[in-house]
Order: sequence, then structure tokens, then C-alpha cells
Amino acid sequence: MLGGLATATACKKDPPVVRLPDAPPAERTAQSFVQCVESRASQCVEAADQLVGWDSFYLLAWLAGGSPLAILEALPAELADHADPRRVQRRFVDEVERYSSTMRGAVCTANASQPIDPLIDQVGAVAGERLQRLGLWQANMLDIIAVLVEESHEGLGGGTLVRLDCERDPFRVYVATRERDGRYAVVGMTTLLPGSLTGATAGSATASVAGEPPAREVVDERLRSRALGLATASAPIPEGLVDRWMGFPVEEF
Amino acid sequence: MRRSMLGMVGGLVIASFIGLGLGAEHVAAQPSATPAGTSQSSRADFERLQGFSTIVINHVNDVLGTEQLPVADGGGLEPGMFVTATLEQVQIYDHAVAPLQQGRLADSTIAAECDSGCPAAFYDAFQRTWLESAVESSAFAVEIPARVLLAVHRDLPASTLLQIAYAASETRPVQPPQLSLLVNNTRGSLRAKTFFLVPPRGLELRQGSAALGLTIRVGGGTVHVSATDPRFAREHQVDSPAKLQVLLREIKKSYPGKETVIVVPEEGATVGDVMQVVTTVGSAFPRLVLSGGQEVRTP
Repeated sequence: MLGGLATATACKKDPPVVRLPDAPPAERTAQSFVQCVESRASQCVEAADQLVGWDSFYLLAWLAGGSPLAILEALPAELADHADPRRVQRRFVDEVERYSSTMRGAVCTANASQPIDPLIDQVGAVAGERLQRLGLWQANMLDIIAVLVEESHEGLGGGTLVRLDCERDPFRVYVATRERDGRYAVVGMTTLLPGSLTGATAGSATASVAGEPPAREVVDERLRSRALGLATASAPIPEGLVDRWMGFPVEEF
Repeated sequence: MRRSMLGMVGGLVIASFIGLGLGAEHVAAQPSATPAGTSQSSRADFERLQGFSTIVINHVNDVLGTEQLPVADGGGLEPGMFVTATLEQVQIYDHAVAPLQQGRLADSTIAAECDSGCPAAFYDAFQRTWLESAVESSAFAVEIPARVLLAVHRDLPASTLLQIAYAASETRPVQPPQLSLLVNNTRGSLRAKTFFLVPPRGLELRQGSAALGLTIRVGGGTVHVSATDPRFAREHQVDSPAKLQVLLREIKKSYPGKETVIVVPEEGATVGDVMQVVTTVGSAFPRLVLSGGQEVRTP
């Protein structure tokens, strides 16, 4: 009887083997992170001390391609925030919270990745040259850029920038992963790389992961997106003006 | 918990940036012989605090030369998105977005979404820039710019200026931006001439509107002056600034409360031509509205 039972067990069909997708570990990590964000939002964010590298890289990318007007206005406060790990984590948490509900139905798939170290050096060089050319260069900006580059390498060194393409808003998500002691973790996320790092740098270090510039329909939808707070935004036309395009008193027309 | 290395150097850095100015400034336009990139050798220059106006002047000198701007009077510079157009290219901030040939786009394919019929190259570039601004304002403590400053070569076809202005305005989320054209006043100072645009599909006035709708068409060495008010007698053709001034003084006597002029550049008119007329008109009708052919209609 026991023998019969053993035979029956042996003849039982093998349970299905779940195969991990045939993708690099960094892309699988990024994919898992996005799925985590869809259900648990900012609970997927790593501890604060893991995030300084990405914050440094993001600041460098902003200096390299962001609006000079915004840099002029916000850089002091952003540098102050950057010096506080709790605020660094808060920034990442806010970013994740901003997009978590939108990403839930967006169907995002990891499509491209590349090592992040060359990007750090490229972005650092572009930022330095740009600030100098625009006249935004200050006495110790050289030190700031050097420190941001160093922090980026320290925090993201050996890591990977992964691009996920989505069927709906936000259409594209960039996720930074890194590996420490055999464990992969996501340490940064953004939905847009500055223009200077995408279309303008075809053939450069960022070209493959950046992808093509977003199409007009994509940009149009994002400009009306809930995540950016623009879905319900509208400006009232004060009484007595000609039109919202001609904002002066009708009597003077 | 690890603290960023910037925490160690940050105090000094932040202190130096606090001094950066954003307010309106009246700035003498420096000649382009000293662009920003060449001033790094002097430590005094290296450490000077830069405000918005200085950055704009540096940039305009670098790509265009402030002496190439049209001459007119205007107000102080206010912070905003800045756009430069030479006869060879258009830049938004310092990013080249569209090449030009003699001040015109080689590929003039129209963007179907652009109500004014602006070219896709301009529409897409501004749309992407506004998206970058929107993302930037969500990530950092900044607003999406409410103003666009245009620094353009005085020989640029006025039609190109209008294409740029409509593309920048139609693509901005929520509402069109305020627009300013950078000009040199007669004392060589950089000023900003505020202007408006006729809505991209034209403007229909209300029944019984008391609007004058003074309109000047500029092109071919003569200007044509007309108005939407049915009481305005007829269209006038004028061939000199002096005659235009006399005519406008007469019109002002009949319509003393009106401040606005619509300027419609015709084919071949440059930005310099338009601003020459604006200067002539300025004291009587200082509020400038530009039109790329969009009409103001009475019911």
C-alpha cells in the first residue's frame, strides 16, 4: 500500500515552474518597484541614507538642463534640503506619492537600461559648463558640482538607470537601481529627463536609455495630468477685460 | 544617518546664492564683446552675484548681441522664460530648438493642434518646455513661468516672431503667458516692451461694443490704418512716420480713452519695421497687440 502511494506521488504532475523574466536584474528590480508603487506607494521607498546619491544626480541633471530661472530661484533652498537626509527622503516620497495612483493603470514595462556612472560624469560636465556660460557660476559652484558628482558616484556607483515605457500617463518612468551585497534596490525615480539629456545628446551616454523625445499627444496629455496638478487648473478672466489673451480693460480697446 | 557632504560646504554655498536677484531691474545692455564665458579669469568677476537680468544679457550677448535688438522704449525686465531668435536659430533658454534659414523655418509643417496655424517645430518645442517646467515646479519650489521674454534680431521676419509667440502662448498650460519683446531704448538700456496677441482664432466683439479696434498693417514701406468701429471713416494709407503721427493725433482726439493698437505685419515686414511703427504710435496708443492675420470682428 505504501508502495502504491509512493508510486502515485511520483506520477503526480510536476508543479509549474515560475520563471523569472529573462531580463537583467536591474530591469527586474525596476519593474518590481513600479508594481510595488502601484499598490503601496511610498512604502516602497528605501531608507533615507540610501537616497543621497540619486538626489545628487537629480540636482546635477537639473543644473545641466533645467530652467535657469528656476535654478536662480530655487537652488539655495534645494541645496539646503539636499544637506538633510530626511528632506531627501521626503522628496523621493513626494515623487512616488505624486505618481502612484497614475501609474496604477499605466501598464509600465522596463524597456532599456544602462550603467549610471558614465551619465554622472556627463551630467556633471554639462552642468559645470552650462552654469559658467550662463553666468550662474558662483565662487564655490565648482565645489558644489564636484561634491554632487562624488556623492552621485558614491550612492549610485555600479548602478543602472532603467527606462520603463507605459501605455498611459506618465508614459515614461526612469528608475535608478543599485546593487549592494547581492541585493538590488531602487534608489531614485523621475518621469522626465531634462531635454538637454535626451534629444540634444543623441549618440551620447544617455541616448539609449533616454529614448526618443515624447510625442506631441503624450506631452499634451501629461500637460493635463492629475499628477502634475494641471487636470482641473483654470484661470478666471477678471470682469471687464477684453479676453484671456488680451488682459486689459475693454474700454481702452 | 549619513549626512550629505554638501552639509559641510553648504553654508557658504547657500549664503552666496541667497544674493542672487530675481527682481525687476533696469540694466544697461553691455556690448557683446564681453560674453559671460570669457569673464572667468577675473576672480572679482568670478564671484560676482548674478541676477536674472544679467543672465539674460549674458545669454543674449552670447547668441545675438544686444545691439541687434530692435530699438523701442519699454519697461523693466521681469523674470520669465526667455527665448532668443537669430536669423539662424531659435533657442528656449539656452537650448537650441529650431534652425532657421534667413529667419524662417525650413520645415514649415503646421501643427494641427495649433489654432493660429503655427509650425510644428515651434509648437512641439514649446510644449515640451512647458512640460519640463511643470515637472520642475512639481519637484522643486518654483512656479511655471507666467511670462515669456523674446529677444529677437531686428531683421527677423515679423511673421516668425508671431509664430514663436503664438506657439509659446498656445502651449502653456492653464492660460497664455504675458509676453515681452526685449528692446534697446535710445539710451542703450535693455527694456521689455509688453505686448498681447489677438486670440489664435480671432476675436468676436460683443454686440454694441464701443471698441475702436485701431489696426495698423505694416509692410512694403507703407502702413494702412483702419479700425473695427463702424464710425471710423475709412482706411488710410500712410508712407512716412510723420504723417502717421499726424493721423494718429487726429484719431486720438476722437477716441481719447483708447490706448490700444493692433499691429499686423504683412509679408516682408521685419521686427525692426514693426517696432519703428510702434515707436511712432507709442505716445498716443501705448498698448500693443500683435496679430498674425487674426481678425477682430464685429457681430
